[in-house]
Amino acid sequence: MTIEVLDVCKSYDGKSVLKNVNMNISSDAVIAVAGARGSGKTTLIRILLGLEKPDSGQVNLLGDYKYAWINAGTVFQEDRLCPGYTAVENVAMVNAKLSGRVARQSLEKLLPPGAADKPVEELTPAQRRMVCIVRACIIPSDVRFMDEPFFGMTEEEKERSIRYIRETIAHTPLVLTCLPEEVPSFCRVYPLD
Amino acid sequence: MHIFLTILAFVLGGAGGALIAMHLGRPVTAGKPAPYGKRMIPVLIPVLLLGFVLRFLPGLGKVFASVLLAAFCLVCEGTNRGLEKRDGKLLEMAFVFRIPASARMQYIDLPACRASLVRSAQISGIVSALIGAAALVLLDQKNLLISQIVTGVILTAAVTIADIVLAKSRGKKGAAA
Repeated sequence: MTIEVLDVCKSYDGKSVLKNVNMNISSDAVIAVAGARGSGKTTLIRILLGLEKPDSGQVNLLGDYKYAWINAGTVFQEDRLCPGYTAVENVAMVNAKLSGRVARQSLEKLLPPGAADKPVEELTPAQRRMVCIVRACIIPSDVRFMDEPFFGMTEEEKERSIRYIRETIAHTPLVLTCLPEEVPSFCRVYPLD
Repeated sequence: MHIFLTILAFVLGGAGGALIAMHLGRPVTAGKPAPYGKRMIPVLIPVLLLGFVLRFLPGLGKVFASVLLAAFCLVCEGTNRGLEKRDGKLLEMAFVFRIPASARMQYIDLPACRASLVRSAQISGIVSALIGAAALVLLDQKNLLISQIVTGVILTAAVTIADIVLAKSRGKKGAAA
């Protein structure tokens, strides 16, 4: 499967956010969309996910693809975790076939011992980002979109998260967004002005 | 018999109202649910039917159908109102991950609409007493009025107790975690 982004433009209240964005996300792509705050990184991810419509241009799914939408494991810019529920519950809820035991095992690769069974509001912001990363990686998906997944993490936490992502989703395309100075070394850079 | 029918109608109407409201409130387009006005249509139809039921249905079917429709309307409306308080970002997340309906109801819908759902079920208990009593008056069975009203009060009390017990068990689960 290839996701083809063709001349996508988007503006809000007359202010242009994306201008003629072209991109090919092939099955082996690992792309970092790098740009400053307000450069349209989140808007691009939202358009790819079908949450926003571009003003002009197209997002096409090429090749033999069984869904009408992009089946994507996603880390949103905000955590979007259900408050009052544990990290395990938040991860296991995304797939009926996923057991709490499997979710806990994955979470324990990133979180300190015992944290997986705490309500998410008791975790640190970095730990909550890790829960989001596990939630995006644990379900079978055709592509992963991660909007500033390492925001608020220390270097050590970021390294651990990158290692987890690379081990877990080695053969699926990945598009992540980040600031220009924070591009992970394993990604091809797509600069967004 | 009318007590059993009242309880059955209250349970079926309430559960049906809540489930239909949650089904219609699912995120459908780009993570957004259908507009509130459109989701209120199932509430309006039983209101229109209520007059017909009270006028034409025979025997205790009048009590059963009127309580069923009243509980359905009130709980459906209460659930719809509660669903409006859901976090739109969580709904988008549910849409993107294609979260199963049961999980969406458990983790997103019910926490948002619990308070108004319980309140509407409590009101349904009282309305069940009144509307059931009205149906009995129309059937000229005034000797059953007291038991009908007591049934409605007991239903309201049962909803309140169930809510307190569930809140406590959730609290204990959280503390254990």
